[in-house]
Amino acid sequence: MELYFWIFAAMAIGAGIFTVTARDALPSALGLLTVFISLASLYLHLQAPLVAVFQVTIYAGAILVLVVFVIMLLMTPEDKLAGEQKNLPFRSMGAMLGGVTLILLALGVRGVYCMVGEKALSDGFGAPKLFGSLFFNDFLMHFEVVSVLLLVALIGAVYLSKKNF
Amino acid sequence: MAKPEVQKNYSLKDSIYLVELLKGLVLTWKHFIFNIGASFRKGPHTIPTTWQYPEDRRPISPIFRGEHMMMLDETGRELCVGCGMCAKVCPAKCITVDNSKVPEGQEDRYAGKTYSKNFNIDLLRCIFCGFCEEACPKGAIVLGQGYELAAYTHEGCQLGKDRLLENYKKAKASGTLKPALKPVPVAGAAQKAEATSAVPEGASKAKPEVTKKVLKKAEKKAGEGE
Amino acid sequence: MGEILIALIKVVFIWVWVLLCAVVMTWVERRGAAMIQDRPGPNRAGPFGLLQPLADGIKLFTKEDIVPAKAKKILFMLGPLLFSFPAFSTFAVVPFGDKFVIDGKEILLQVSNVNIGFLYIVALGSMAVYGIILGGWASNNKYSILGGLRSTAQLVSYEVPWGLALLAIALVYGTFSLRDIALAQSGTFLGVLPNWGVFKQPLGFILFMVAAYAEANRVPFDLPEAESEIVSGYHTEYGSMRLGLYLFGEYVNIVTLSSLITTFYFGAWHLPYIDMSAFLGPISYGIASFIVFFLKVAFFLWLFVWVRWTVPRFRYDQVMTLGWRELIPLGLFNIFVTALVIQLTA
Repeated sequence: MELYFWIFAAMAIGAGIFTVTARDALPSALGLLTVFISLASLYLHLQAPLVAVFQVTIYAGAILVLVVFVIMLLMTPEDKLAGEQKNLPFRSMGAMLGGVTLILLALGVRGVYCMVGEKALSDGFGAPKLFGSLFFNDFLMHFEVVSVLLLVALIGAVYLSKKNF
Repeated sequence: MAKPEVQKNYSLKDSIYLVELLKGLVLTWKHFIFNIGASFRKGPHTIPTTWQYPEDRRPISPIFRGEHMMMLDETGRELCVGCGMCAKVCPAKCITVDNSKVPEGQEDRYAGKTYSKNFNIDLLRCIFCGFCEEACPKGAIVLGQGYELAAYTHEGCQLGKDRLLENYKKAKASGTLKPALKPVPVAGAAQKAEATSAVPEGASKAKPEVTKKVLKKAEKKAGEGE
Repeated sequence: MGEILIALIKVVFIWVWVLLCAVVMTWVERRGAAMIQDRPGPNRAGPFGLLQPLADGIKLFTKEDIVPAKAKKILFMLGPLLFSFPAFSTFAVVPFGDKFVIDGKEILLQVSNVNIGFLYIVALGSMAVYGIILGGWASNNKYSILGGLRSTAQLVSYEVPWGLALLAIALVYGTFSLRDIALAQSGTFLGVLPNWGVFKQPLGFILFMVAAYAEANRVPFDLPEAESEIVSGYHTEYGSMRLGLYLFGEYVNIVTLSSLITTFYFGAWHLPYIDMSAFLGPISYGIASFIVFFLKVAFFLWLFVWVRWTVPRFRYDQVMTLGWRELIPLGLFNIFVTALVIQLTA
């Protein structure tokens, strides 16, 4: 069903372009929401429902909510973002770097595809059982390092927000 | 009054709140069951606290200031002479009166020599203060007991003379006319009037000072004017 | 083709059932509230006010639709839609009965039996926040923004105890799929108690209930739409059908949460000690299981109304304290004890 892929890929790219070119902050955040949801649909298409659900729960449901929260706290609907910025050198450099990154990504993906080829998926692919066993058997150290990272973030947040006595 | 004591230290049972919650739920359940039983009983006032409006109406005080009516005297003649005192005193300026002499053949319809040709009260402006009732020298306009005055159009809220007279007939038929505002003369009132007309001396002394002040002010103003 | 048709029928059936439940809930709320408060409630529109939801619907449809001049139009219109959508979509994974067996083919009374089960529900629950944020912010009204902020913070804070309670459920039943969790709740354990989640996870049940009330923005966590304080919060500026969508979406949310409580903790369609499939034919068994499920959901819907008119609403700092400093440690403790018990008895 290639049509499924093309629809959601187009939606993701369109929403991404909308995110970076929107005039107001909140529509831009909603564009990012659309990007996340399209990505989640693409993960579903790749037979990974668990990753799709994680994408929606964590990215769209927690991180983006906090971003929108900050926008809500700091802006009224009538505020416009700051005026046009005169930074053509920066923008052109950014465009060049972005283009180069895209080309590198495309080459990288092509390379991975050549390596992996069209293997058949294992039976419980994408099921939580497989996920869990991978996490706790093969990728345990990665899991623990990520949890330490989260702990560091938590301690930092508590420290930053405590009152000075 | 001493400050009421607020309990600051909560026991474990209180701070968990679940026990209190369950007690509250039991209480509301009892109310619920009682009221469900009450709602199946026939008749008005099924649930004790709510009066069902169109069927139960609250008693109105006899001096309630509601919808206006035009009075007729004992022989059935209209009392209104079209003097316009009610229109002048109305704070909301909702009364319009047109006055004209009573034409030849209609002596038995009107009590006075003049009558109000057009008389209109705009209910949408009226504040039901009762000043018109107090100002009327003939006691012709009276505020009655009607309070259901809603209408669908602007015209439906204008009280013309026909509606006013009809209100009077309805009130008379249902026996809710209130007694007249003017005091009824009492035997021995003439002697009381003599006794009160002798002004006490202190009052008469106070007056010339006031007039002196006024004269002084008038002189000052005249002086400035020149 | 037959599969798609069956799925479509299930979807339509669930949709109609949820809508009917939400509509009847408006009546139950008003009448139940009145009965608790010693007053009659709506009793003019039909016997016992049963046609009142119809009258309300007609009123909401025919009112003038006002969009404030300084509000962001598109976001303003998007708010109610984004709010109602997750509430309905959650029903795709809720098992509302056991199964029909027609001509040897099993038809599960569940729209889709995904293996990620309740993670899908958690994901949709976190998406529900957007409708409120957009509605509150786009109205360009300080009360709406306040209400939206409060509601967002409350919803996000109470997702954590919700998830922790569900984690404990996953530990006990060893699966994410809702249908497997429901199936595992048949029979008895310890000889006497039915095998329901509430007996295996009493603390988790309380956590889930409290978090569900907070997720539904219902009293006692009512502050985001507290009428006496911030003039109905994030739906102040909404009128006619948009307000209808918000209010309706709220009731659908409540129906969803009641169904989830029933599925996880009260043995979705099982009667306590009786096994219905032993003496009922296949089709009537399916219908009977749906009826049992519906009765349990109805009890929890009534509980939402009952608690609403019993308990005063919490102050905002009390809400936050309860969510972060009391429920989360309790949730972690619950997981710890559950894991310990499973390890010792396995």
